[in-house]
Amino acid sequence: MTHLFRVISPAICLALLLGAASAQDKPKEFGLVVYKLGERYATDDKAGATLDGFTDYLDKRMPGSDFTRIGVRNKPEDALSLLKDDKKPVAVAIVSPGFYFKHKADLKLTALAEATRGGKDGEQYTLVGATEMKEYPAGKKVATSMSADLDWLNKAVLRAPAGVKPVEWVQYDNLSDAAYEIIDEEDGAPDFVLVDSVTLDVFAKDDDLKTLKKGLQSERLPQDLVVEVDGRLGDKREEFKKLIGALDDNEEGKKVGENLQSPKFPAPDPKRLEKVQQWYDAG
Amino acid sequence: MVRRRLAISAITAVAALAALLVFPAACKQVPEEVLHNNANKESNGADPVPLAQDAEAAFEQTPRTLERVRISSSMFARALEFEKARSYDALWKAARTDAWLAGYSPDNVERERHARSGLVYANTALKLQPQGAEALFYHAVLAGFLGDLDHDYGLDAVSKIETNTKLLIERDQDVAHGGPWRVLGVLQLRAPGPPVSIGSLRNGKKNLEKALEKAPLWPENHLYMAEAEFLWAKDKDKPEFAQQARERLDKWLLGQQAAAPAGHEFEFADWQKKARGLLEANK
Repeated sequence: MTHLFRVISPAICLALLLGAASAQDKPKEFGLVVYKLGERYATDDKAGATLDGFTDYLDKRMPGSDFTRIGVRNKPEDALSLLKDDKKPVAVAIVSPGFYFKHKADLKLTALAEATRGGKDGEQYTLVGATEMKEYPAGKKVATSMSADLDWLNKAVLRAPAGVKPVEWVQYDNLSDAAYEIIDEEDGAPDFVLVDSVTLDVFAKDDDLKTLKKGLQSERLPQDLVVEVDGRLGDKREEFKKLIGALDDNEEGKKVGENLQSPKFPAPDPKRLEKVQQWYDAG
Repeated sequence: MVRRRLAISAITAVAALAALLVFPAACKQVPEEVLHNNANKESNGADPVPLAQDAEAAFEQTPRTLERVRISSSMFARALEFEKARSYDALWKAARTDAWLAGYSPDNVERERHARSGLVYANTALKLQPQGAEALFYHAVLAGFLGDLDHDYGLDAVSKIETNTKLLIERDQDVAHGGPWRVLGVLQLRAPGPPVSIGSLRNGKKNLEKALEKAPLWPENHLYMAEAEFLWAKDKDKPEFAQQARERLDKWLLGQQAAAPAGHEFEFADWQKKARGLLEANK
């Protein structure tokens, strides 16, 4: 018995030691979710491979980490259920700013970085239409691709002055078609189209679309945010931030950024976040 | 103004790639490779020029079959090893043969092989005649097939299709029964809108109307016009367009009076299959 104990004890110790070592060697798993507001192709089917390219890039450059795509969604409720799923914990997500402000507290989100789509710092939306509208377009029909997040539209993008009739948001997946309806004077055409700055650049290059007049502009707002969920990146946080903040430092990263439509993800502008947070807090 | 209508099948399967343009897994440039300089290569008595002519004849022989077009491709490959056979005409016709195989072969490996070799011919033809209408057209079509088969080429393929077809449209140069309008139109129907890509239902429909104006009897133009009408019916909530699409498919592709253009039975069977799919999807 004593002999047996003598043999088993070291064996157990060795096993425990090996177990500890292998646990230590095993990369930490980090789930990744992407939620793109107003992007109907933001689905696992269409965008999954791109996100896998991003997670592969992170895995290669962050030894000891194993990033895994959990899902790509374009509806806020679908993204929310992924982020709430305890069986597949999400460590990092790329979400619309509206989603971040709405769920910051309940999902314990921390904004680590911000997209720079088209190389632009922040986002500024512009109303375009047949007439130049410099005031809030009270009661008018405004085309947008973001009607799934009315809070974002009404609390941040186009805030209605007190006592004024709010605009009627109309969903269009394709903003250029909304603008063509105005140009072609179609029945039921929107009065204005709300466009982001990259789309505005596209409009400026189109012979028909550039005839539309630019009007009211939003304040400069945050773009999509890279958020950490419930501190789950732990000691990998700084490494992660550094890596995505300098995505365009190398050829492979440049390609990843190109596919993600953001050359890099630098730290968000805290003042910008604070400003919008106050609007949300004010209800 | 040069207007050439080529009695060949037009190839428009470029649009399958459109949905994958949002987030391609990687961004690759459509190859710009041209045929190697073989000025010193001996033809061992056999004249490559008649061989290229035979290759063309094999393609033109109707009803077209996969086997015969494969033979045409292989004859072109042998003939075009020699500088002497590399006229602009022989090169774009070789590109056309390969585009046909890239479109109609049942095997994706074979399709990609022909998309790549066709691009080499089209690139070489464009080196000889940078403004050559046929070479520009087949270059666009082949780039589309490559993007369809390997999505990493998707973004660049769309840019090539757009550039080439717009150039031909500006010059009002018709190839393959309204080909430039049809190819661009189908792409615009299915691609996402700005800022991601060039999609626009309105522009797509307009270009398909123009393709029909150019070749009103060509069933393939009616096939894609019907697709545009189904989309229009949904988007604008105008069911009369869906009815119009059904009638169009019946008249030009599926009904008793619908007939293949002479010698195009093979292609017609493929369009009929697509027409049935379209009806099924729009029940």
